[in-house]
Amino acid sequence: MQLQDLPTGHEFPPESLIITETEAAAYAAAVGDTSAQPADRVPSMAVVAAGLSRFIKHLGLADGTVEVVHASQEVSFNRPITPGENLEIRATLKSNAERRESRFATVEMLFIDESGKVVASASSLVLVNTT
Amino acid sequence: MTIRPGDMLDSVDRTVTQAQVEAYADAAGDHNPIHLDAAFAAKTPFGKRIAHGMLTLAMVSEMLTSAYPNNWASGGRLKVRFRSPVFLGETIHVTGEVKKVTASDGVRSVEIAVGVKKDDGEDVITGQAFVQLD
Repeated sequence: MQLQDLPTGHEFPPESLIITETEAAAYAAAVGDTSAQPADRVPSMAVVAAGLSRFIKHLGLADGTVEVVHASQEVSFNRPITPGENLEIRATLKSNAERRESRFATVEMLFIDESGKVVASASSLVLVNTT
Repeated sequence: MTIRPGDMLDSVDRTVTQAQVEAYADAAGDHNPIHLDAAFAAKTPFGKRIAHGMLTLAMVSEMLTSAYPNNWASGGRLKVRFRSPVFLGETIHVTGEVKKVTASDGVRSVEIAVGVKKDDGEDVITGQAFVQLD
């Protein structure tokens, strides 16, 4: 799957995302958040970070062959996420255009719980150097 | 507690280290070489490794979680731009200032200007957060 071949509006196959207590604790330690309580709740931004990493990888942008820069980010959180909770990520390519030797792509992600409710959402704009 | 425009949130000040970036790459699953591979990063316009934008943004979320322990995770929104990269060894300062407190249909919301700056004042992140208080 190559980013330049995907049309705006492309919907990625849904993905399962489970962040365990161990993973939540590792995330909190890595970012230096000593006030986090990873046994009770996943740090809010960990969910978005995990989702974004996956789609960067799926788009072939994490293999060192291209330069990728994160330009902007929007997030919203509807409720805390419990470690071990099973979420589904539904992602859509909201924009994908090339300008001045850079590709600008926006990926929107919805994080949905087992009852079908959106618990968090995110929109990420990345710039890919195409030279 | 009364929340007023001009109130400052408790800041987060942190020096970003190579070990932290490597630990973050593993924790978040983001092993982009611009963060981890000095030789690769040297060929980019940045010239050296940079921290993940989402690592810096995690510190903004940490500040908002500390200020609004329940409300940030249950009705918080954030919109930011990444203005400049953070290089390994740089110290950053995360701040938040209450800009507006509004009420609609019995729900109070607060708008916060969030920012991340380097020691020299260079902007790393600028943006707004919105938190429902009730």
